[in-house]
Amino acid sequence: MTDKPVPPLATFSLAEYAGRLQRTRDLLRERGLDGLLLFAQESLYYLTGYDTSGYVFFQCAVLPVEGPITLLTRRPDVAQARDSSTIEDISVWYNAEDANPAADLREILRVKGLAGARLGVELHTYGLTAGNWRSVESELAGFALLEDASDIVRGQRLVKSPAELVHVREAGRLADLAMDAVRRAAVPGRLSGELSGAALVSMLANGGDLPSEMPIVNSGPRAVYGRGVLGAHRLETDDQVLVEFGASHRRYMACIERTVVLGALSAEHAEMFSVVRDTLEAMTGIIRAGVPLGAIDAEHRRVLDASPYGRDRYGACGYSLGATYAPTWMDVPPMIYSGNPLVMQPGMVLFPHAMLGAVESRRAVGMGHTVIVTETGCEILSRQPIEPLRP
Amino acid sequence: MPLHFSLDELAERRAITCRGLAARGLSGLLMFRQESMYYLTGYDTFGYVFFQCLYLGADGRLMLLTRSVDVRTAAYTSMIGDVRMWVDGPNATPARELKAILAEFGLEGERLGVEWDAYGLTAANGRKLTAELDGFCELVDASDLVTLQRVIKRPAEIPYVRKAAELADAALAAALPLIRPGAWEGDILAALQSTILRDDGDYPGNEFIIGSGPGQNLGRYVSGRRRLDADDTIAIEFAGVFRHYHSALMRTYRVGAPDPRLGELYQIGLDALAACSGAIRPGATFGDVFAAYIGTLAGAGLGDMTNRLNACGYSLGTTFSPNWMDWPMVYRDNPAVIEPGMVIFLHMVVTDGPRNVAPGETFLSTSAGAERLGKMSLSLDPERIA
Repeated sequence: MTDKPVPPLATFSLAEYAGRLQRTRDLLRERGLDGLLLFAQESLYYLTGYDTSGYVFFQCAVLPVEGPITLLTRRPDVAQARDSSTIEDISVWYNAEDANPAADLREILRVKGLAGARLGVELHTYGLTAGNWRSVESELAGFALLEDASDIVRGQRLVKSPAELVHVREAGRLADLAMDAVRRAAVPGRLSGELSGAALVSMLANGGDLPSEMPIVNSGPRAVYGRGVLGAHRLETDDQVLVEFGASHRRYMACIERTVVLGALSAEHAEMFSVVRDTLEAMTGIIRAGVPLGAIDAEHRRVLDASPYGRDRYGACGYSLGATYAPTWMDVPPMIYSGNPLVMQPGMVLFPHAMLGAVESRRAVGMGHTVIVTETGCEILSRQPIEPLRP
Repeated sequence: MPLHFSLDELAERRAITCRGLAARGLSGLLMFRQESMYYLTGYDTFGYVFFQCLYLGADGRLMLLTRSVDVRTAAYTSMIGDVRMWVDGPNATPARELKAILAEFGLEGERLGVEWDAYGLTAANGRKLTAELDGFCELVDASDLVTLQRVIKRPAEIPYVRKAAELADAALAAALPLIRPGAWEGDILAALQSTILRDDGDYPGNEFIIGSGPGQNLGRYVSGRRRLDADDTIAIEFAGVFRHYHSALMRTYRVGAPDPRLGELYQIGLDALAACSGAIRPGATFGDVFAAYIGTLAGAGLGDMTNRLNACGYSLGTTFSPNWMDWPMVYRDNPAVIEPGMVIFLHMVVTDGPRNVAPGETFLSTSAGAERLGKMSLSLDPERIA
C-alpha cells in the first residue's frame, strides 16, 4: 500500500484510509464475520475515498477480512473509482436485458473463497433498495450467510477524526457565507428560488461542493412547512423566510437554519424568536461528551413546553451530520429525540435545531446550527447571531 | 393547494393505475416510489428518506402513512384526504402500523402489489415490511406498474417538459460566457444552477456534473472544484427542471489552444447523435437507438469497448433525488418499444485514449420521429453561441 500513489481526487491520506479499513476489519472479526458487503456510498467514501453517485444503480464493494476490496459497479463509474479511491480491483456489470449483477457479486465472492462464509450486509442505505436486496438474497441463498451489519462503518463515521474536522469546519464557514448571501437576496419582489440560488452560488464560488440535499427556502404562509415545496413564491413587503440548508466541503456537511424577516417584526413574532433562541441555547448548552443525546431533546421540550407554543413542537430536534450523499444530509441514526441513550463523544458533529409555527398567524421561526462535541461542551461552527436576520 | 395538474387529470391517472391493478389480479398497491406518489396525487416531498407508503386500492381508495412534517406537506401539495402519521422513537414500527391500516381496510388474505424497486424502500425497511406482512397478505412485485404508465407523457405534461428544456437552454446560455481559460468550475456550476432556480425551476434529481482537466471524462459528480488551465477541456451535464420534469443537456468545450483530434471526435459524436435521434420513431426499440450509437462509432474506426459507454441515454420524467435517470435506458438489445410522448435524453460519449467528448440533447418522441427540445448550438467552442 505504501508504494501506491495517492489517487488524484482522494480527500485523505493513504494512511488515514488504511487506519479506517483496519478498524473495520477488526470489528468484522469481533462479530465473527468473514467480510462485509458495502452498499452505502457513505461507507465507500469513508473507507476508500470512492466518490460517485453510481449507488443509484446496483453497486457493491466486497470487503473481506483479509485480501483486497473488489468493487462491482457500472462502466460510467470506473474512471471515478480509479481517480478518487484506493480500490484497485474493479469489476464492471453491463446493462443488458439479462444483466444480473447479484449473480456477478456471487461470482466475486466465490473467487475470493467466500462460499459458505458469514457476511455482513449494509441494509440500511439508499444504495440498496428492497428490490435489489431481494435479488442478492435469492442469489446468495445457500451460498453464504448474510446478516445486517449496517452499523459497522456508520458507527465509526459518527466520531470524526482531526482530518475530517478540517472539512467540517470549512463547511461551517461556507454555510455562514451562504446565509449572508441569502439574507442579502431577501428583498420584496424576488422569487424564493433566487434565494436558493444565492445560497448555492455562494457555496460553489467559495470552493464548496453541491450539498447532499438542496436548500429549503419557505416564505410567506409556506414557512410553517418542514420541507421544501415546489413552485417559487414571490417575497412580500412584510414577509418571513425560513431558510435551512447544509453547505458541503468534500461531502462533509454543516447545516444552518435561520429565519429572515422583511419589514416590521410583530410583537408575537418577536416573542417566538425569543422562545426559539432560549430553546436552541438550552439545547446547545447541554451538549458535551458523556451526556446522552436524549438530553438535548429534553431541553427542547422543557423550554418549548413552558412557552405558549408547546403544542406545535416537533418529535425530533436534530441529527448527526457527516459526509453524506443524496437524497439526504441527515446522517441518521442517530437522530436527536427524547430518550435516545447514545452517549456523546468528542468529535461528533450534531445539528440541533428548533422550529415553531403559529397556526393562527402563520408566523414561523426556525433556528439551528452545527456543533462539534468536545470534552467540556461544544464548538459552534456558525457566527450568525441567533436572532431574526434582516435583509 | 398548489396542484400542478387538475383534479380530473390526477383522477384519470389513478383510474388507469387501478385498471392495471385489476388486470394483474391485485387488490391494491403499496407505493414507495416518490415518483409514483407525485404522479398520481401531486404529493411532493423528500419524506421518502424515511419509511413512507402510499396505498392505492383497486377500488380507488388512497391512504398515506408518513411522519409528522409530511402530514403538512401532503395537505399542501396533494389531493390525498386520508393521511396517517407514525411517530419517531426508539420503538417506532411503521410497518406494523401499515399492517393495522391494511387490516382496517379488510385486506387480510388479499394480493397486494409492492414497489420494491424504490429509493424510498431501503433493504432494511423492505425486510421489516416483509416480516410484518408475511402470512397476512400476498406481496407481488409491482415496481413497474406506475413507472410504465409514467413513461408516456400525457398532453397535460408536455408543457412542463418544454419549460424544463427552456430552462436548460437558459442555464447553458448563462454559463457559456464563463467557460474561459482560468475559469473556476464552481462559478460555472453556480451559473447553471442559479439560472434554473431564478426562473422558477426546481432542484434536479441528481447533481449536475462538471469536470475539467483530468476530471473531464468522469461520468458523475465528484467533490472538489478546480480552475481551468490555459488550454483545457471541460464537460458539463445538467438538466432544466420544472415541476420535477427534467430536460437534460451535455456538452464538451475546449478552451485555449484548439485540439484537432478532439474536434474530429466531436464530429463523430454529433454524427452519432443524429443517427440515434433518427432511430427514435414509434415501433423502434431502445436497443435500436443503442445500435445506431455503436454503429456510428464503429464506422469511424472507434469500435472498441474503450471508445464508448454501455448505455447512451435514458428516459426522463418526474424523478426525485438521488437520480434523474428514469426507465427505460438506452442499452444493447433493450426491447422496450418507443411510443409517441416519450422524453429521451441521448448522450454520445466518444473516447479515444485521454480524449473524451460527450454531446447530449433531450428529445420528445412524436408520431413522426424525434423532436429536439433544446435550441442551443452544439459546438466545442464556448464562444460560438447560436
